[in-house]
Amino acid sequence: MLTYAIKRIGLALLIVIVVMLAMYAMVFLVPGDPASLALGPRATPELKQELMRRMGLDQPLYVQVWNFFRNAVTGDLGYDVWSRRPVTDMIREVFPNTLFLGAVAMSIALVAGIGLGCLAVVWQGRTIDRVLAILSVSMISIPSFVIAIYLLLVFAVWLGWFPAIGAGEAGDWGSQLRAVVLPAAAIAITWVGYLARLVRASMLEVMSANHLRTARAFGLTEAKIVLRYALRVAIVPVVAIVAVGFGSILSSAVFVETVFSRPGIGTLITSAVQKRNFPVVMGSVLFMTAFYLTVVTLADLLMAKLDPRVRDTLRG
Amino acid sequence: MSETLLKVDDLSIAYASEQGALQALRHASLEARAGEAIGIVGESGCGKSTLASAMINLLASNARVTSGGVIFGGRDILSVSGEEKRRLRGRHIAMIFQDPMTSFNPVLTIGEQLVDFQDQREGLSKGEKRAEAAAMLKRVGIPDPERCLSRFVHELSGGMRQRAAIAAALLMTPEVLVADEPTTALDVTMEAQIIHLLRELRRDYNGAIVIVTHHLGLVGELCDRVYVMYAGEVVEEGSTEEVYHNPRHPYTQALIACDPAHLHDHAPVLPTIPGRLPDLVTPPMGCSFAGRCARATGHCRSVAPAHVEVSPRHFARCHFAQRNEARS
Amino acid sequence: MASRSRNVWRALMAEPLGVMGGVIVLSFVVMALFAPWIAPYDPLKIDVMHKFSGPSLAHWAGTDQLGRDLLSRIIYGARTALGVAMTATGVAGLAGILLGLIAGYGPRWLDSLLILCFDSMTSLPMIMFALAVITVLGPSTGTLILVIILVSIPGYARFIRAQTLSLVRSDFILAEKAMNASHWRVILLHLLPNVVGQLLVVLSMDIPVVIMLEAGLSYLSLGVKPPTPSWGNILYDGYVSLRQSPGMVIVAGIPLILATLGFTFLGEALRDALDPRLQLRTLT
Repeated sequence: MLTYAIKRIGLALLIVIVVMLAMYAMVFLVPGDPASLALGPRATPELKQELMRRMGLDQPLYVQVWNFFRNAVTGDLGYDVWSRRPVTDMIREVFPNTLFLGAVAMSIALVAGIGLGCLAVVWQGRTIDRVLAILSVSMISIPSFVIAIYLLLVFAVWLGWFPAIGAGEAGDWGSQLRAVVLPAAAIAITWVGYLARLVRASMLEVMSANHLRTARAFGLTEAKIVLRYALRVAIVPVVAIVAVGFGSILSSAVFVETVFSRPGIGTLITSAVQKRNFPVVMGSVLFMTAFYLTVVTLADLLMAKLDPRVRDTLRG
Repeated sequence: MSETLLKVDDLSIAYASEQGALQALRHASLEARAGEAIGIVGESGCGKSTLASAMINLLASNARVTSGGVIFGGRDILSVSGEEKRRLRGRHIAMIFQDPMTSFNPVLTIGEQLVDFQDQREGLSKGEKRAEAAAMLKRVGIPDPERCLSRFVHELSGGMRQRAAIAAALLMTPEVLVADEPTTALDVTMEAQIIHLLRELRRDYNGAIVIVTHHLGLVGELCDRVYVMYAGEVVEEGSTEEVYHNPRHPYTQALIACDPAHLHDHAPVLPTIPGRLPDLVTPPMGCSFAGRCARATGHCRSVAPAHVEVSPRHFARCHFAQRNEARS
Repeated sequence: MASRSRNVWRALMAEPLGVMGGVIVLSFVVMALFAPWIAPYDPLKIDVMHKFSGPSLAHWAGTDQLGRDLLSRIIYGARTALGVAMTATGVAGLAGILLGLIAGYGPRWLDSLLILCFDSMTSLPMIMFALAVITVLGPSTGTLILVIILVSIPGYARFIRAQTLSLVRSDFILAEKAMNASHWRVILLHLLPNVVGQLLVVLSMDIPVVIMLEAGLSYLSLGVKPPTPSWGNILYDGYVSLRQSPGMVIVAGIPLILATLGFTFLGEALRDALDPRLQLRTLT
């Protein structure tokens, strides 16, 4: 288990380093330098020089890469080209909003998805099951930002039940909760569909498994069979996909945060990309990649704990 | 003669299928007595697994009992309430499953499962149940029981798994032990070891053992009586000795002739039984083996044969049972 | 072969959702191909006198903030959406076939190297990668297509590689090799025909995701540049004038919902008819 954990964490670190190098490589593959790209037509030689110096672009390439790497490890992701604020501070300021949004969305998705999946298992082959199957596919395929805009129109603009913009007052949980409902619902819908499908399939597979027959043959109560013998097996693929789902939730957040003008990592990156604010984009992308890999690695380790078979296939 | 523990009486079971009701078991009867081992043999699809499931009361949800029952402790266990059915399982009638790899839960340790399997037992703490499990593992020849208890099923070797499955079945000293193909998943050496183990266990076990298999040798090694099944029917029954040396049903004769253990070293061709199983949705009017039997006459195809007693406690379901002397 | 395609056709027709999806997809394809003849107006023609007008006989879907006809913009938007989706998945599919065949058929060290690249790429959140590339190259339709191609290739290449590996070990290819058949013969005659059909299903399952990505990035002003009509741009225009004219945003969302649903239903039905074991999507 320990060697497996070390291996997984090592791989994640390696990928972060590769991503960092790749981003640096990309910047230098492009014709023209980042400074004039960022400045656009306003570039005067002096302005450009100044910006180059500020971005650290006047130094040799390996020094730049090394600096970026060293700084990133110590938590320094560089400075905003325009406001000169540290990128780390900017991320620290907005990231809790995104995390909260993601957590609420994932909770909604888990409760609704597992609920609908179990419902489909109970009514397997009946009309409800078929309707749920169509509903799941629809929820998976409709883009979350379209749903976000419709939710905004109906529940915020027309009905006025929830705020249309922002993340709520700082320190006021009530208003923050009200502000998170619509964006979280928009993001969750895709995952309600995915999870309902997955839970249905994996429950059906487990319910027909041989070992449940054994448990029955030894006279265990049906409740114990479902809760201890079936669910423990059926939950494994759900844990696996929920971790990957976190990545996709972060992606949806980029769109949905913009729809609700909600401060978060998504709006931060989007506006930085629009202004071609290199340090902010690179810092945030690097941060999100590291965060995503952390979640996936943790989930892998949890999976190995839940399912001894995974642990063994990956050990060798 | 010892006491009858479990009796299958004129049992018929049908499965709902798209083509109609599939009559997997037709008017089967058998008795399992204390201290006795009986064998049920036949090829796949003959109804032996259905019979085994009925004996431990774990029929599939699409199975329907159309006649008879399974009598245990003076009651038909197929018609008792769900809660009572549950109480009988494991405690009184236990089963050794066919494929131990998939029969144990993959994410719980063997120990956790062996403790859970004793849920029916009252007045024992978890620790005592675990100790009980360890003692039983030792008895079936697992050298390091504590280690085995903390293992997951995929971490055990094939032989260990089979031993653990046998230990699980014996945990609560059930009156009836049903073994469904106990050696199919094993290689030849392992198989010999498990047969040896089962024989040893038989000596100090007072319950009834039912072994369900397609493997004639296993029955010959372990069983006192044998029931030969074909197309959902018991076609011949008797003491193992008698049936193996003097089979009276053409199917039994063919089965024995096809058993690789009985072949001469220089047999030019491997004997086979021509033809295939009859359609069980609409079973034939006459003898169900008539379609594949070399001796079948018009009479065989139109009139179902009775279960004829050819010698004391040796029956065969064939019109020519009295005349069918084995050719050897 | 004819009877096989007839069977597939019959299986498709038996699936009412698949038929519905097919009809929707077909309508969008017709819209995209014949946009200049179908669209009642020039999608770029500004008419400020009639801005924000609701649905009417003259403008069935109303007009936008510049008085442009929404229906015409949506019809031309189909052209953009399908154009981007087809180009991107087409190129990505071809590149995937090439790289997958190299990985599956070529030397081992090359295989390991390619697999490492694919794995690193797929272990990133797709949108983060996309945004990084867009920052460097600047937003445009070309960048958008390139980004989609780049994020799709690893999935397709892995798929083709897996299929190739299982085929290479199969008996008929071993027999061909034993008879000294050239590599090209094996690849062209045996590998490709066996692999391409399944890849097409996988590609068709990804089209709704690509349509979503194009619209999403255009919505964020990081994709197709206005005034070129794209469903994402139309949605953005509607979003900006949500309070003056809610009708616009309602209309703008409909083609996106219909197209993603249509392609998904068709893709699922195709998958069920051809090979139920294929996974749902390679892009997530």
